[in-house]
Amino acid sequence: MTNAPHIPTNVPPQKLEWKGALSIEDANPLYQDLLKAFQKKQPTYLDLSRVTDMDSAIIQLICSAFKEALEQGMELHLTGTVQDSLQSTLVRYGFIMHEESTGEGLEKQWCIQQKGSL
Amino acid sequence: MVHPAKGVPMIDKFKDAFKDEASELLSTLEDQLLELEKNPHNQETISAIFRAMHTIKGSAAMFGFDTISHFTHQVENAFDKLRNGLIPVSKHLIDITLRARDVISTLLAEPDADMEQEMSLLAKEFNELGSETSEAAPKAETEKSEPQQTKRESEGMITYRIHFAPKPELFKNGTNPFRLIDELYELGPLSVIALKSAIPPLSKLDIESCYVAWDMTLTTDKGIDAIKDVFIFVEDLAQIAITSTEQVDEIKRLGEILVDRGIASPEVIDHIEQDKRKIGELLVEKNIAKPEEIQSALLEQEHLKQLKDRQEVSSATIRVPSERLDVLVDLVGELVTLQARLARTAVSLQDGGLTVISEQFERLVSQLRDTTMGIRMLPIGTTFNRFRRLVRDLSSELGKEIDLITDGEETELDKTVIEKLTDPLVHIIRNSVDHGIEKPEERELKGKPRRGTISLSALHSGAYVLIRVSDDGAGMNRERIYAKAVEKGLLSETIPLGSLSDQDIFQLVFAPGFSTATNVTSVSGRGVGMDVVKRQIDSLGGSVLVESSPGKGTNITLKIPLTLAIIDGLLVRVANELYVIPLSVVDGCVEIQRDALQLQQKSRSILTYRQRVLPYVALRDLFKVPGEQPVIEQIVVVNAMDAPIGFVVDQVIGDYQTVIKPLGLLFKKNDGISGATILGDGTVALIVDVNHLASLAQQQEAKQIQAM
Repeated sequence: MTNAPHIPTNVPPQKLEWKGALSIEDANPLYQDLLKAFQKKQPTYLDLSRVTDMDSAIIQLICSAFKEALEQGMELHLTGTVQDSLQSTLVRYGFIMHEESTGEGLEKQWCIQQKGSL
Repeated sequence: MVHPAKGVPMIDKFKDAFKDEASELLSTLEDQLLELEKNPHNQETISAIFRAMHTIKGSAAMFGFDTISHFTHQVENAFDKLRNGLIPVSKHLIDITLRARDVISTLLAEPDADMEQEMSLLAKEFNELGSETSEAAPKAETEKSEPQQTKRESEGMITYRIHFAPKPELFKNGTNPFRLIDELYELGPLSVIALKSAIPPLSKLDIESCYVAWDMTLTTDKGIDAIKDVFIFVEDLAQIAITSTEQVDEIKRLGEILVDRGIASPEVIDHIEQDKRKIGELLVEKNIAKPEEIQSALLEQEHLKQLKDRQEVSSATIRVPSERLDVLVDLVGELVTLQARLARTAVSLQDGGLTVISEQFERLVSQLRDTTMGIRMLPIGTTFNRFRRLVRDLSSELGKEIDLITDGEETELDKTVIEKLTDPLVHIIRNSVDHGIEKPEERELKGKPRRGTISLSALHSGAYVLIRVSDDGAGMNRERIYAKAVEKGLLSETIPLGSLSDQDIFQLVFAPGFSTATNVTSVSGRGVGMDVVKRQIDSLGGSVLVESSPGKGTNITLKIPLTLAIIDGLLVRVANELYVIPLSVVDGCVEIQRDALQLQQKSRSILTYRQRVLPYVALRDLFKVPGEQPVIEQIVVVNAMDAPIGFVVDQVIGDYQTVIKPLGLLFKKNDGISGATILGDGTVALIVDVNHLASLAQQQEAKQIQAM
């Protein structure tokens, strides 16, 4: 997301890796992970390559994290190849307009909308 | 069976149009099925197949082909299940769908064909597909049997706007909003946009609360009650607003949708539309609308546009019987000849005004010619596609594993030429599958990959298209071909094998009655085939080249002229005879004095052209034209069979639009001439077959060298 000037450039990035078909039952530990990552004030990379599916609770968790990052001026990035099944869920339920096979592309589509919605 | 309504001619016309359309759909269907076999998870292909089946079903019912309609419905059902993830893509599914495709295709061609048995067999198989896996399938509970519906899709269709804003407690109640949206998808085409503006930042988030809302546009004929039923259990847990939009023929402008939705007043829109910028951006800038509201309105616009496109797609092209195109080409040919006469008259009258008109006329005629020829051009890919099925079926019949790779599908060729190419290609590919590629075990023993590869490619090369069929199979066996040719009496025993070149040996397979297959299979080996290939390609003015190396594979290249009707030619004169050399193979012209030529003729006919050695041959000698050789002659340099060669002529007259007229049977044996054309003054000029002449010249030279 945005590069705020007060973040030192030499801070090592941290990586989160989520796995499987994620639903509201899995939300709490993932939420805690994200909160911890934000406390460390390091650029955070969320790898989605092993996520096969998400429900609305998990998708809104990611959206919420982007809003937090924007408010705090922190870096949050999505990485990895987005699996076909996840892509079609995101398109089918209206979270992105067209399929996107990379985390970076997803972030781009998402962020434009995010900024717009804020 | 099928009872097509006894019809007035108009109905018949519509039926023909339906048959044409359905046949096209079926041929792409075959392609898509094979594609799906390769990429079983491609949702787009699955949807495309489903749509094709749906269209065939609907149109068949409309035109009274009830059998086709009912049968297709079963296939469509299977693909609906596939689309919803209830059954997987399997070889069996592809197999029976291909068979079903064939049944539909047969019924289209012969509505009275007896297909009952095959149809009921297939129907049973399709039905079993669902029942085997329905228990294991994850989404089985959402499947609803599709109501029998044969009326036209657009009838009674209403587009609704649905705003669905769950209260935060929705999740705690155990409801998954996605499943509700799934149910809406079942009702008809649906566009969905998630509204995320209410989602708080992480620090204020309650993970068990729902913050997302949805705006949706649904087009359905099921009525508003069916939509309300979807939300019946969440009425207290969400704000739900369902409104119908007016059915309009025109696609609404964004401003109209926004006024309709009560987001902006008509005055505001009017005022804003004065500005030439995008209305959506302006409304957001002026804080009249939220970005999400604009996006949602845009989505509705897109949804309606797609619906309209679906209805309009058929009117984008028109169908014309190919005979009419043939007549058009003939007429253009006559026009070209007449234009040549006009040009000639203008020159002989030395009238400036007439010359200008003639030149303008020539430009127009040439454009008209290119456009007309262009209409007849089709990408060769349409023919390639059918070979994928051929290879798939043949290889499984013979217990072989073969991939067919195609390249250059977009290469365009005259429609007539493409039609005549199909049979020769079928023969060549059958031969590759049957004789060329070895059985998987045999291949492994030879250290080759189990799966054999046949590649089919097309590319432009001057005025020709080269179509190449290559395989990585066993290659051709010189000894066996020789022995067989001797046995069949095609070759005298007195000619030793060693004296024959590879090309000579390989050309033997094109002799009538030649076949080396030890087992006569249903695939090939009946001794017909390759001679048919040769004859067909010859009749197209093309040639066949065979290259093969034992153990490595075989390449068969068909060299086919782009078009059969009109070409650009270079008109040349030898004594009083006129010849046309196809301009596309001409590289350049050089002038040369007789003395210099005579000097060289003592050794070999070679001169230096653009720093390269150029062999040349005199057309006067080749065609045995009587008459005195002029002192200064011209050499036309052409590219024949990928190597340059010069033709010595008395005079180069100039370029000339040539309408090719076939020569009569009397001239069938006349080597070196591919046709004739009528010039503006009515005289006939012969069209030179450059490739043939070049090989003739080579042979003559070889003889001379031997004699020396």
